[in-house]
Amino acid sequence: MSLSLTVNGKRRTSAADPVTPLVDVLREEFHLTGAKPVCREGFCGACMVLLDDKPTPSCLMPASLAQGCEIRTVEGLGAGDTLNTIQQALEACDAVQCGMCFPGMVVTLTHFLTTSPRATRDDIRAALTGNICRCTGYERIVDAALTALAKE
Amino acid sequence: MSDVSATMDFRRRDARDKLRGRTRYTMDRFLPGMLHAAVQLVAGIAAAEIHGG
Repeated sequence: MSLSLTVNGKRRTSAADPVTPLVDVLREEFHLTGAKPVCREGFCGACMVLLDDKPTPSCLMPASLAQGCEIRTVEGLGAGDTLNTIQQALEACDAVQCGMCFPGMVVTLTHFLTTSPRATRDDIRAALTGNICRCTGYERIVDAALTALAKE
Repeated sequence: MSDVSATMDFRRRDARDKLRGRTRYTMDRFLPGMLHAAVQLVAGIAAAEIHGG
């Protein structure tokens, strides 16, 4: 029995075992390698994707349970070559370092900006507890989120 | 003293790709028939001292 998944607006099918982590199906079958399986424990947030607009670590999500959900990965956030508001702010604030955590950061913050338009610096820090940046570049990431909020 | 301002104003050319999940890291490469391997090293004696050979 094959799995039917909706990824970035497209219907995709996969012959993977139903308990295969969603991140592996996205990366190895659909070649959407933005999401990174770094810890595989739902701790680091580098594999974050939106499931029906809710940030979800795709390493802990069995692919079969994502059926019927609208899956959106970092590749599907901007329209074509354009960057969305938080991507633009992260670039402008020079927040990007090694970049490994950014697919997850961008997914979490894209959701956060739409749900918390009046967020404070502390709110943003709290929202990023599930996204680890091993370059420890948090201050510029928070600056970028505040910049993006001011523009919304 | 040289003027450092010239070297402090370089934009990151890789930022846009990284922000869109397009950058291919080593872990993002999947080649046909690619072999995966992991090595685990565990000491046979706990809290041993290493003496020079």
